[in-house]
Amino acid sequence: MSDLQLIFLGSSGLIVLIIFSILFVVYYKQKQAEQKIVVQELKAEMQRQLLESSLEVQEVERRRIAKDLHDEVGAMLSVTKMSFNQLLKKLNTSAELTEHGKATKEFLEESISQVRRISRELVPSTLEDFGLISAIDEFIQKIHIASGVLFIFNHEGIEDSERFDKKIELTIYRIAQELVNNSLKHAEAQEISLKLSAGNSKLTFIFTDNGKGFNLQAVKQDPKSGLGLRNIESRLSVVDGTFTIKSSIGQGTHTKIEIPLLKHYS
Amino acid sequence: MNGLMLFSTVSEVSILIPVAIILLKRKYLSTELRILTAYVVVTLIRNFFGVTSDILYFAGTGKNFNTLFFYNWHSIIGFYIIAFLYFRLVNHKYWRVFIIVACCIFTFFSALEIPSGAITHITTGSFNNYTYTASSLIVLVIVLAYFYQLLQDLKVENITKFPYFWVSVGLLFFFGGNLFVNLFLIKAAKSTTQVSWGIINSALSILFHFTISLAFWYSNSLNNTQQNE
Repeated sequence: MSDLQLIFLGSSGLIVLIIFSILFVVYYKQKQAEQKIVVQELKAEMQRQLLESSLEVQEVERRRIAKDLHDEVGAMLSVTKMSFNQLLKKLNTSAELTEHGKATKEFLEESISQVRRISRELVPSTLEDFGLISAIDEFIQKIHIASGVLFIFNHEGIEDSERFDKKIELTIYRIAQELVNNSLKHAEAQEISLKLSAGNSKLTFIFTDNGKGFNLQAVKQDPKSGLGLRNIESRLSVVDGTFTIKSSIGQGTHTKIEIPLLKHYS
Repeated sequence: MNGLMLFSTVSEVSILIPVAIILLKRKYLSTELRILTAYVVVTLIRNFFGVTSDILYFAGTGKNFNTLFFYNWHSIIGFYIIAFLYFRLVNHKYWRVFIIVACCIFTFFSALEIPSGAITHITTGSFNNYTYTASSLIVLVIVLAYFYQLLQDLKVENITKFPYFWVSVGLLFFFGGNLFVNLFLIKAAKSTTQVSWGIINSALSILFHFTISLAFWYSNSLNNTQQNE
C-alpha cells in the first residue's frame, strides 16, 4: 500500500465521519422538531380537557344554585306569601295598614317571579327537554317581550325537535345568550337575526345585529372588553369549533360560528 | 521528513488551544469537563516531551530522545479518563457495565504489552499498537452509544452548542480516523506507511484539539441547558 493510497483512505474515512456527524445533527434537529409538535399537541389537548371540565363544573354549579333558589328560597317566599295573606285578612281594621299590606304582597309576588326567572335562566331546562331550536326560540321570545327588540330566527333544514350532541347544543345556546346580551347592552341593536343550519358535516350559526358596532382590534387588545370574545373562543375550542366576527363602528356586527358534527352528532 | 516533523510539532503545540480556553472558561467547567481537563493535562505533559525532543532535533544538537514511552502511557491513561468521562455521561446501567467490562479487557491488553517493554522501558522503541487499536474500538462504541442516548432523550435544546456533543465528535474523528488507518497499517506494516500515518495522526490530533476546544468554549451554555432541563 502506497503513501498516497493510505492518505486517500484516511481522508475518505474522515469524510465519512464528518458526514456522519452532520447527519446526526440534522436528524437530531428533525426529531427535536417532531417532539416539539407532539408536546404542543398534548398541551393543547390537555388545555381543551381542562376547559371542558371547568365548563362542566360551571354548569353543575349553575344547576345547584338554580335548584337551591327554586326549592329553598322560592319555597320560603311562597310560605311567607301565604302567611302574609293570613295576616292581611286580620288588618282590615285600618285602611292605611291594608294599603301597606297590599304593596308588600306585590313585592313578595314580584320576588317569587324573579326567583323563578333566575332559576330558569341558570339552567336551560327547555334546551335539555326540547332541544336547541326550542330553547333559542323561548330565549328570544322572552327578550323580545322584555326589550321590544325584533328577532328573526331562521333554522331552515333543521326540525324543531332535531337534537345534536349535548355539548354542541349547550355551546350554541350559551354563545347565543352572550351575543344577544352584547347586542342589547353595548350595541343597542334594534334588530337581531339568528340563522342556524346543518350541512357538510358541520353546524353553522350566523348572528347579525344592526347595532352601533365596535372596533374589533381595540376590543381584542383590551383585556376587560375582550372577555366575552375569549369566552366564546374557549367554549368553541371544547367542541373544535371556529368563529369569525366582523364589525365596524356604525355597521353592526356579523358573527359566524362553525362546529364540526362528525364526532359529536347524535 | 523535516516537513512531517514540523507538522507533528504543530499538532502537539495545538493542545495549547484547549488549554487557553480551559483557563478562560474555568469558572463554568462542569465535573465532566474537569475530567476532560485531566485528559488535556495528560496530553499536555506528553506533548511537552514530544515538542522538547523536536526542538532538540531541529536545533541539531543530536540530543533528541525517543518519546514513544510517553505516547504509550498517554494512550493507556487517556483511555481510562475517557472511559470515566462516559461512565458519568451515559444513563443506562448496561452501558455503564459495558464500560467497566471494557476497562477490564483494556487492562488485560495493556498488560500484554509489558514483555515488549513498551510501557516499562523509557527508551522503548515499540509502539503499543494492539492496546491503541483496542482503545480506539472501545471508545468508538461508547461514543456511538452516547450519540444514541442523545437521540433517545432529545433533552438538549441546541445540540451544536452542547459541549459533550463536540467532545464526542472529536473522539469519533480522532479514534475513528486512527482506527481506520491502524487497521491498514497492521496489515501492511511498511516503513513508508509510517510516514503517511504520521501525517494523518497529526491532522486528526489538530482536529481533535479544535473540537474539544469548542466543547470548553460552550461550557457556559451547558449550565443553561442543565437549568432548562
